[in-house]
Amino acid sequence: MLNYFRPKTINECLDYICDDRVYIAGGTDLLVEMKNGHDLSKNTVIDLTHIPELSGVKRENDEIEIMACTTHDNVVLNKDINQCLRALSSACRSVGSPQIRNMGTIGGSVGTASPASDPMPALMLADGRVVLINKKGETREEGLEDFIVKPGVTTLKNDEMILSIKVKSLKEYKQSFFKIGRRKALAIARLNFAMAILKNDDETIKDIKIVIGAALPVTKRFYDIEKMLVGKKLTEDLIEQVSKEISEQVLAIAGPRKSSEYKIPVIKNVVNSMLKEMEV
Amino acid sequence: MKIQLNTTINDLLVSVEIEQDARLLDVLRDNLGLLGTKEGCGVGECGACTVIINGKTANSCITLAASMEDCDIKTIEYLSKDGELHPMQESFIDNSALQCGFCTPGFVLSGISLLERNPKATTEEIKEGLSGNICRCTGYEQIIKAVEDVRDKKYNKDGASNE
Amino acid sequence: MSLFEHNNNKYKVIGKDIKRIDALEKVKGTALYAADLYMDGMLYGGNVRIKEYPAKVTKIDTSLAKAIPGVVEIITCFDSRAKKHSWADYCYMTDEVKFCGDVVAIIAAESKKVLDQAIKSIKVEYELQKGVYTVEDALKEDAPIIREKGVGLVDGLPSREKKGNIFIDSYYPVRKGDVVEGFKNCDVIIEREYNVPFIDQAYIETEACLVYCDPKDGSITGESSAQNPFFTRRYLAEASGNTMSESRLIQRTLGGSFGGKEEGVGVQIGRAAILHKATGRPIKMVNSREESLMDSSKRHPFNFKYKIGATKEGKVLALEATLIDNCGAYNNQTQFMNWRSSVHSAGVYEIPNVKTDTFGVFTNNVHGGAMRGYSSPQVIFAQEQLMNELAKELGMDNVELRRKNIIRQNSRTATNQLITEEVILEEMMDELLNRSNYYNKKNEYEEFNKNSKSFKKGISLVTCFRGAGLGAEGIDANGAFVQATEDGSVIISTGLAENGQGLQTAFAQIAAEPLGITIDKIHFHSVDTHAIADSGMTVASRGTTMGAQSMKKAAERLALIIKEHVAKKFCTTVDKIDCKDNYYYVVDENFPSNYSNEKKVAFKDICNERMWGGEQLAVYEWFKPELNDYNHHTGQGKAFPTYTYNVCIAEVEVDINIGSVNVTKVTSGLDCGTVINPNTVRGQMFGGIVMGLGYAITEEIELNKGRILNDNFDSYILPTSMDIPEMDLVLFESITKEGTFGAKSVGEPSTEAVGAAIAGAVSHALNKNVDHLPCSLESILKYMD
Repeated sequence: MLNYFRPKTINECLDYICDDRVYIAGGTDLLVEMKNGHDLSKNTVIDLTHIPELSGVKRENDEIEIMACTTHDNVVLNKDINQCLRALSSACRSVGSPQIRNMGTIGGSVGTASPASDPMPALMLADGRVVLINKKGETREEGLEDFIVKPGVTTLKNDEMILSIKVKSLKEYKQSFFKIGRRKALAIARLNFAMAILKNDDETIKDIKIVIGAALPVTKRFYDIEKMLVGKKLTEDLIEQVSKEISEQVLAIAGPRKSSEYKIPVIKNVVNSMLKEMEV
Repeated sequence: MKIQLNTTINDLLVSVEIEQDARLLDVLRDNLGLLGTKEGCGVGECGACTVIINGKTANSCITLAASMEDCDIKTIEYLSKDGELHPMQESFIDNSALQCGFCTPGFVLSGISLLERNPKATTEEIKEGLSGNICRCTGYEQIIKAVEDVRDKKYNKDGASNE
Repeated sequence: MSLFEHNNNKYKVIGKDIKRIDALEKVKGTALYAADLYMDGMLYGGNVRIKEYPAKVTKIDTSLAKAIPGVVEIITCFDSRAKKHSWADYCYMTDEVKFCGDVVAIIAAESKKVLDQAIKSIKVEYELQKGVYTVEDALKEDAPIIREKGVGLVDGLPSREKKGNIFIDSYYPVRKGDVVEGFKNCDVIIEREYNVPFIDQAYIETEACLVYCDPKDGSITGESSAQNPFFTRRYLAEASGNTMSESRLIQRTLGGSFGGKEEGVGVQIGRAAILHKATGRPIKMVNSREESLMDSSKRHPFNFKYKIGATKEGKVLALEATLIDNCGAYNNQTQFMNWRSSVHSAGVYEIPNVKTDTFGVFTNNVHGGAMRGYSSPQVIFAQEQLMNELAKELGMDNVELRRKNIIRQNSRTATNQLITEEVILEEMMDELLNRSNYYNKKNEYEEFNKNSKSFKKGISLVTCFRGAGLGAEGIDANGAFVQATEDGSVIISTGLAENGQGLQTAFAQIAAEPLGITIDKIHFHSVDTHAIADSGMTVASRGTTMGAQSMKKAAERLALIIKEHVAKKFCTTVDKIDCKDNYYYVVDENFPSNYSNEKKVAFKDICNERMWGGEQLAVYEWFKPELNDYNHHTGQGKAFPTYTYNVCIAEVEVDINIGSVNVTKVTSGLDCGTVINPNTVRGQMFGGIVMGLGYAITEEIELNKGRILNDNFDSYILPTSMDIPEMDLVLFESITKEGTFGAKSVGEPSTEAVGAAIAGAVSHALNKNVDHLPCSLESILKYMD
């Protein structure tokens, strides 16, 4: 690496931002990339791990702001998130291993834009918005769906960094997160799912949110299906129809590739059983 | 390019000249001779390189050494620096919780760390706490038992239970 | 037969939970592994490989790499100093790249960083050739010939008359009785095919070595993570051009091996020796995990074709099979391993008519080699699934079918070996059935499955046996040296090696027993080839059962020498002297177990007297077992001196919505002969179960044209602490005159039945014939289609 900077404040950090900057938010991905031959010899590495104000969780009414360098472990331990966004607690708890959760950060996870990110479905569930700050100190917000362009690519500009992720409290919702991996720890998601539901007194759906990760290049929230379900009761037939529709949508986007043989029927099965559990 | 790293390792203030892109694992082993920290995979999966940074376990193979400025790092060597074994180490010996021994330092540190965080950890929580360390020899059973024994204060030196 | 009892007083230290003698340095992190070695002036050695194979290398441009400051030496396969072929089929370097592990150049540099840069800066030009990757393709008439020595098929069997890809030295037929006649008398005949993939030993320590010239005597010295130090010395001597007597191999603490640190470690030390010769400086080589996965041997994949027939009562009358394994591009193991496959190809059953053919096929993949079980995990999977299918066809209970056919005392095996020793298999089965509550669970799970849409439960029992030691595969000879010192402490050394399995502790117990001393008096000197004789390899679970025979002999002879000394002292005869807890004493006939009498002397005092009196205090002994009468052309005869019997019951819960298999419980019973160290045996069994679980569910080397796609532990999936089942272990003892103190094999039997038992349980849960491993998410879903 050409330069290495370890700022202690956000302001100091902004000074170092330049076109060839690479951030370290936890380092769990960057050091693996370096091992695999990613050449940083012409890059400026900005280490964000020594900036106290970039870490922590703030709650203001129905909005929770998770600072970019909050570790997965600290998300798991956070009471506000536990109360208001249990799906995110579960998702962060399913990341890698204790060591990885102690090191990896929510901002890092969003910034690397991996299609198999575990927090992502839960963040999208809660209408997650990424807050970005540029070298001049100006901030902007963008919905996660717009921010993530494709695997490894976001709309982050060269003069920007991720400041935080803002999510809405889903305290009143029934929520769940489900991950399929090849083992029970240290697993990369083969598929992951996050759902939240809020019902009216008459058992009809007031609001519902459905997100699936690792199925497509970008974690997807199924807005059209959600909208269609509002006001309805989750009958067995409807659940059947919805799970079929979602798996078909994924197939239509993904195309008949090898992994679809597994993923498409499983999406149908899992959406079906998750909706049923939600209904209970 | 080289830089100076100032940090605390096993309670000692250390100042060492390192490459900017050096991994913590290499600095511990190659520069400081702390050879109990092992490399098994280099990608943060096996946990053989586990160390404790500011009270939490981390994989030193995916930790940038330069990032460790002013940190508190503990390696396996910390535990027996005064000549005595840590109860976790004793429990590993008594429970045959090791075979080839290559993953053992990492397991011992993860075991200690999980009990510090959760002294009443259930068996399931112990398994979760050890899940970032891979052992190919033991099948984990005797390792889990070793941690349970420490949890159950079988190694309380005063003989008095805290319960 | 008996269940192992903890408070058995038959022995003083054998059978006791002695703590591992190598545990202290391991928990402290001070045990020195090969990668922990550093030396002044040391260079880092590394390998240059290409990413497509097979290929003919035409040009290697080293100019960019040479220009990097800190690059000390580059030797390409075109260099006159390059030693290419090793004695054991594999290449140190080659311009004819046959598989992903082949190396085209080696480099020595001042630092790891410079080495990495240099490797990346080498430009290799090559012509890609047509490759063959699967057994099916390799056996096609028009397949490219991978190796000169490969032969073809004539009438479906390997024959030297034709060129092809079959590794003829690995061909073993078994011909017992007449299968044609046998099948005629069967009421039910089924045919099934099974296959299993390459998997990796996945020891956590990667291969490493340091090669230097010993300043004391000029010997080229290699300190290595070698499973088999004498085997590795051959590569060191060959690559350096030194005599064996001037090539010294020191085994460092080994971070696991399971059969894997044999050939890969050998070629590594050879490459380091070549760089050492060229530079005159110490060379350290440490494989990255990716290199380890590319370069080290794997468990062989097999394609199995089985045909089995039985009477309607369930008596198996005939079995016919073809077992074909994928050898990879080079091979120095299949010709031994397939013999074992052939001996066990008909399972632990007495079948009057058996015809099996086992052979390996060359492909452009990484080579199959030794991995814990040496073909048994594969063969038992196929064989036991076949038995389950036969039971289903007969409408018979799986266990009852086994009960009708298992080998008992006076049975004849597939190789027509008459089993004269006690066989406790049926008692083991009954004990495990009872303990696991097998039949109740079986019914309960079947009931559960009727009503459950998402989850299915299953349970399965597997029986098998394993020939202990090398048997007729080789000569199970070994040597040991026991030296007492003047303070009563004892140094033991052996040609067998500690691989993590607990060999040091077992051997210390075996030496301590006749010597009547406590374990703390014994120091185990790890293998140094300059200090002890070649005792063959630490393989085949032979360490304790066979490899320790010379240790027992040496300790017994030294004990006799000491007893003679004591007898003389007390004016009595040797038969009146006994020893325990570091004392030798005259046995009081009235109170034989009481040694707190006057007539006793401390072991250390005798040692001291003898030392200053110029009397012998050290014994070297050699052990060579009786040779087995075995005909390799017919596969008939005495294959092994004794067998370890094994019963394993697995229980699973399958989520058919997503294809995941949760192994809930494994009950494992092992006939240990004599248990030397219960905790070590348990450690082997726990570890063996979890390794078997990986084989059953997650582990598979994914290949694309010979390239390994999952080349690290993020994608090569090993079980974690959260994936383990409840494990119930049952240690059995039986009577055998073979084996040290009657001990049988433990290491490999601990894992070999587990994959099969889990596959059987999945079959039970799904009511499908699981015909391949692993039972991955995807394959479970396919079964449910």
